[in-house]
Amino acid sequence: MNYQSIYFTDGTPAPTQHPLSDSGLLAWGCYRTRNIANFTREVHDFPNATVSIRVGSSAGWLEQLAGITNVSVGVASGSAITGKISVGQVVATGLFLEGTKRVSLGQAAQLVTGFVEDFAPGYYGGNLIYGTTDTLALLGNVQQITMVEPVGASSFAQFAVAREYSLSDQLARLRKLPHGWDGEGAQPISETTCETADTVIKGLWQMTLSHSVIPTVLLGPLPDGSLRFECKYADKELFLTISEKAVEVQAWQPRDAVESSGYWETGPVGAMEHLEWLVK
Amino acid sequence: MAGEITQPTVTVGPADLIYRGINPQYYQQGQLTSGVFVLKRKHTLEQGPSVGIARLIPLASFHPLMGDGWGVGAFDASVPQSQTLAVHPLPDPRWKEYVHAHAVITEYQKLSDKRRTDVERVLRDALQKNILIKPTEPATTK
Repeated sequence: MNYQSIYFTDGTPAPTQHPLSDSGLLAWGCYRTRNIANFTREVHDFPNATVSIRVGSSAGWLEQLAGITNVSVGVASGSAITGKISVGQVVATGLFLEGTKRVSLGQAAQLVTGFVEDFAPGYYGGNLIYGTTDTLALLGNVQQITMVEPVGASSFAQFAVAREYSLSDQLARLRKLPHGWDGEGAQPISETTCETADTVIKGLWQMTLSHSVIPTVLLGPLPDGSLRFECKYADKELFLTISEKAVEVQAWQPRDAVESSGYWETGPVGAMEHLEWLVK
Repeated sequence: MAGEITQPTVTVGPADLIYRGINPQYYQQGQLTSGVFVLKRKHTLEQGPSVGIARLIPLASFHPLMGDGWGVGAFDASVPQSQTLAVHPLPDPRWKEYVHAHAVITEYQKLSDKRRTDVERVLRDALQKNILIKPTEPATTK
């Protein structure tokens, strides 16, 4: 039998155990699919609880798929992959499909509050669960449940390509900005700056594939004709500001930190090591 | 252009709500980019980010002062003030009857490059939390 349980930190099971049937369906039948990889839970009453999760063959995706939780989540699997998600941590990358589970009693609660903060709409591949009043009664004051599915390499690659395309598309648009695009005399983006940005986009793509993570990246112009990549992953944020062939790098961790943890002046090749830092 | 630099006739307190126009170029996928507040060491007072003092201008009057497709966000003056910046009233005749509602963010010129970017990010995040009118996202072109 698969299982998931919430434990207090002293090891005492919280009164919210939810045995799964062998089919991978919860006893009250609230899952849309059998293809369950893991769960995360945001629980009001158990801020110090640990959620034990059994995962299948896609355990390598765990860190990306774990979602958010305000509980401490310990992850273990038969393939001995373990991970620890700290309290309040947002695991910012994954392939989730925002789903709407039809619930029998019709009292659906939106359980994904805050979850999609770092994800581009339309790029989710997985499921989010909605609860019924019965479910909530069983779970106690559970505020959020997230169910995710393992995703295959092909899906991931498709996403990576789509993201690269999106950034390249944005760069193509920014390349055409005229003088004064901000209404106050902003400079157009030079060809050299665009070429450097293109190099960074390619580096991001390689990073995505080699680390199997997908940081959230926005590419925006600045009035002096430079471009800035604003990249987020997990509890980190990275700015790459490109002016001609130069790249200024600034990093923050945790993301709610005001003061950056570092500032570097480098080039597109040097920027890669900072992207590595972002996704590790 | 904003008016000459004069002694402020109004003061901006920490609890004052401040409007900031949002250029669509700084808005993607529902997220602001830090370009919405660009802080340069060489900026003169008049080149500082232009803002409106909410108690002196209604939102409905502030928004048309922005460009086509622009949005509007708001934040408390305490946000820049907490970063050692100032919201300096700077009357702008282009705002006509709301001339005294215009202000600029300043005092960042003294900060280091690193610190200024820190502050740009803080201001971006503050504005993101309270977007009153969404800008029109720029159309993608190929």
